This record gives sequence, structure tokens and C-alpha cells, in this order.
Amino acid sequence: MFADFTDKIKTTEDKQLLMDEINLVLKSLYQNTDMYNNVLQSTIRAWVRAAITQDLEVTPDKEKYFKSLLTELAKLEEFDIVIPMDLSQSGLERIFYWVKDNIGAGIVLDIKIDSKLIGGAIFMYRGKYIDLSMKKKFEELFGSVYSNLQPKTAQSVPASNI
Amino acid sequence: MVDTALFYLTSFIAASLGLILIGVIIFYLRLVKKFLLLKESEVNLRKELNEKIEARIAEADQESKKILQSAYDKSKEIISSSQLFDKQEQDKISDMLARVTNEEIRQYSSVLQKVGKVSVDELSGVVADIKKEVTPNLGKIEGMIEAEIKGASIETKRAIQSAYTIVEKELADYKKEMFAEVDKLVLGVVKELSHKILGKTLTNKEQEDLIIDALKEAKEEHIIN
Repeated sequence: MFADFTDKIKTTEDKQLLMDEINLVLKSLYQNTDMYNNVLQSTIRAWVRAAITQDLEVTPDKEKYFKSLLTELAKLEEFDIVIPMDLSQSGLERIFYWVKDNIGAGIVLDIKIDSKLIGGAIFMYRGKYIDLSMKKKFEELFGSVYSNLQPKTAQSVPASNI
Repeated sequence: MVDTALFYLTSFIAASLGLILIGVIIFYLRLVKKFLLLKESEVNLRKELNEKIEARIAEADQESKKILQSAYDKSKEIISSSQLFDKQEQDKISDMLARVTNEEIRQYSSVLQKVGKVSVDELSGVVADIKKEVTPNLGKIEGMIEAEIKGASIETKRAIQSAYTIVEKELADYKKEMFAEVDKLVLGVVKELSHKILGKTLTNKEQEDLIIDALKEAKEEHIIN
């Protein structure tokens, strides 16, 4: 039923914005009809309004509908991802659909930017963490070089060998 | 009558002289024989004497070589066992010792050849004297060399150790400082440089590809599934 919404929500920002909009509409619903209409018509985004209007045609209980929508949105699982640069819309969609196809629906991306990562990404999902950034790979590479270098050069010659 | 007596007397004297002559000849022949025997004996004795002299010379020569070789080996061993000298120095000293030893042997053999002409007994005495004189002296020389090398080695080792301890501490501090710098360099500047180079040269598409690759890797690692 809420496919129109979940299909359009790709990130936690999208999710939060939509939840804010729905909460605002729900709040206006408790005030009066004018306020509700006003909020629905002028405050929320057009595609949200269109989706709500379409859904409410088959679901007369508005309060139940909005609460159900909020519950459904709250269920969306967050997939934390840290990347080195901001994604274009096409890039975001590419990654989102890869995640959706490979993990499943009901997931939103919580994207954070850390330019120090250079490339790749860090992922956190269901308590699991993996750093697959180029920064980490550089650190491992240079770290291994450094650790290999250090004992050799720092090795002291015993005085008995003089 | 007188003539007859004179004849007999003359005959008697002649016969006596003849007998004396024969006796003298026999005695002479015996003396000649004895002389020849003595001469032969003398030759044999001389030969035997020469052989003995040569044998003693050879023996003395061998003995002297053994003594000098022993001294050489001992010196070499002392030098080799000393860590004060490096391989090159040891080789040089070893070579010098070998040359000195060979020269000593050559000179000693030459002296022995001259001494050997005197007599076996004298030679034996000389050999004994030389051995008596040389052996303790060589022992003293060995002892002196060993003591000197040991002393020098200990002193030098102590000095080097003392210097090394100071240098080692300074070096350790320096290394610590340098490694901190290297650490910064390795894990900072190089990464920063890599970041600048790669971060700025990677296109959006390449960045996205890297993220997708990372996602695939995460899936393979069963971090996401």
C-alpha cells in the first residue's frame, strides 16, 4: 500500500523529511479541516500530496492511514554508509538499487561524507561494520611497510657483537 | 882358512840381512794393510758421521720448523680469536706472520747448515741450546702478544662499548623521534598525497564504481546479506 512512498525514499534524510511531513499533516488533522487542507495543499511536497490523495481514496480513515504510514516508515532499516564524496542523484540511485536488489526492500541509506576515505566506503549494517575505504587500504599497506621497516632499522646491535 | 871363515861370515851376515829385510817387508806389508784398513774405517766413519750430521740437521730443521710453526699457529689463533681485528686486518697480520715465520725458518736452516759442519756433538748441543733458548723466548713472545692483544682488546672493547652505549641511546632517541616523523610521513603525508592525487582525479563514476566494488566485497564477506 505504501509502495509509492517507500520506492521514493532512498536515504534517512528522505525518510525523516517524509515523516516530518506526515506528522505535520497528522497534527493538522487534529486541529480543523481548513488547517489540514492548508497543510496538505501548501506545506508538503507535490508527490507526497499526490500519493496521500490517491491512497486516501481507498482508505477513508485518515488518522489510521497516517499512523500506519508513520509506522511503516519507522520500520525502514537503515544501512549506514560512509563515502568520500557526495553522490549525484544517478549515483545515489545506482547504489540504492544495488543495495535493494542484493539485501532487500525496506532499507534506506544513511549516507555520511568523509573526504579522507579517498575512495571506497565504510558500511555498518545490523551491528556489523566493515571499512572498505581506500584510506584503510592505504593505512594497512603503509602500516605493513612501516611495521616491516621499523624492527629492521630500529634493531639494536648487541654490545657483545662488537 | 881365513877366506873360508870370511866367506861363512859374509854369508851369515847376508843371510841375516836377508831375513831382516824379509821381516821388514812383512812388517811393512802388515802396516800397509793396517793403514788401508784404518783408512777404510776412517772413510766409513766419516761417511757415517756425515750421515749422522745430516740426520741431526734435518731433525733440528724439523724441530725448528715445528717450533716456529707452532708459534705462528698460536699467534694466528690469538689474532683470530680476538674480535678486535676485522677479517682484513687478520689476513694482513696472518700474512705478515707467515712471511716472518718462513724467513725465520730459512735463516734458521741456513745457520743449522753452517753449524752442522762442525760436529755432531756440537750440533746436538747447538740444537739443544737453540731449543732451550728459543722455546722459552717464543713462549714469552706468545705470552706477550697474547697479553698485549688481550689488553688492547679489552681496553678497546670497553671504550667501544662505552661509546656505543652513548651512541645507542642517542640513536634510540633519534630513531624514536624519526619514527614518529616517519609515522606522520607514512601515515599522514603519503595518505594525504594519495588522497589529493586520487581523490581529485577520480571521477564520480569511478567513485561510484569503487563504492559498488566495496558493496560487493562486503557482501562476499557476509557483512551485508
